[in-house]
Amino acid sequence: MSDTPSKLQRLEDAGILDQRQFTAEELGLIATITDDEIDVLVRLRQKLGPVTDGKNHIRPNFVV
Amino acid sequence: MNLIPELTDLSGATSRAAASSPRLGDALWAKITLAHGLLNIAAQRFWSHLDLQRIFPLFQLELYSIVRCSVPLMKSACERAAELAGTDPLAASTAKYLKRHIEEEGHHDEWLLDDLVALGMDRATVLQGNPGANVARLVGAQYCWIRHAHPAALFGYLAMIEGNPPLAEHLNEIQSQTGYSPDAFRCLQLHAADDIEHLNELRSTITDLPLSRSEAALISTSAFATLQGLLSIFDDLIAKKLAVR
Repeated sequence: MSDTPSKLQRLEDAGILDQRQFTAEELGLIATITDDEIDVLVRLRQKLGPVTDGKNHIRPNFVV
Repeated sequence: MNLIPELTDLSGATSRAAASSPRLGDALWAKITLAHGLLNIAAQRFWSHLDLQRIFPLFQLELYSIVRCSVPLMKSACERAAELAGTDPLAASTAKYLKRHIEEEGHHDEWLLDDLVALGMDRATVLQGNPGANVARLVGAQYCWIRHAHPAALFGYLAMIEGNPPLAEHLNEIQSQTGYSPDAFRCLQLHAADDIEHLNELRSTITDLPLSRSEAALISTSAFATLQGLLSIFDDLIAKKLAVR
């Protein structure tokens, strides 16, 4: 489990994960993510720019 | 401690018995949750756009393409899963879920077509339109995985699209900002009412899937590709809005 902190930290540093919002169990599950999967998410996150605060009710509104 | 059982064979069936811990499904859903977070960031930018009145009909038209393609896509995955189900527990679970879900999602394209007409679009013209490149990439990737990998890949697509359902509060806000008739929001409002139940059903289905490690990775890849496709749709709709100004 030696690489777990670095994976979570990479996600946190990239603005993908706020560890304070997850339980230890959930963080353990998230830490199973692979480095390749992190790379994909980091690339996508970098394209998105800053988060708009205070609009947590907004949803994508995609449906099938 | 390794949270995922060590596997010597990642190809699927032979490793499934060792890998079918519910934690694989739980870990998969945790990754999907991260992807939902990124989609929500993009959604905040899209739905906060100052020219929402011009963007909204374009969004609804693109959504119609997705919805129109989705039931045939699910039918294709269900058929392939049924073919494999005799010897493949994951395929059996996939077919069982999709058979039920296809019935739930039937006729949603017709609801959305009515909404587009309420926005002032011509029904026949909409029906004659072809899916654009973004929707073809989004849906086409799923056909590839269904046919050449495993039909359970579709869970990644469904988790991204249905795993983060509309909220009535947000839809009412869009309606107020754009000034469009409530009749233009019926399909989305019905999903806001129904999709929490669908979300819970989808989540419990995914977390309980009898997954091997490679199958979980396939669904994760499908989810992230779907995320990428949805982000491209948001980006291009904003760009298209600017182009027609």
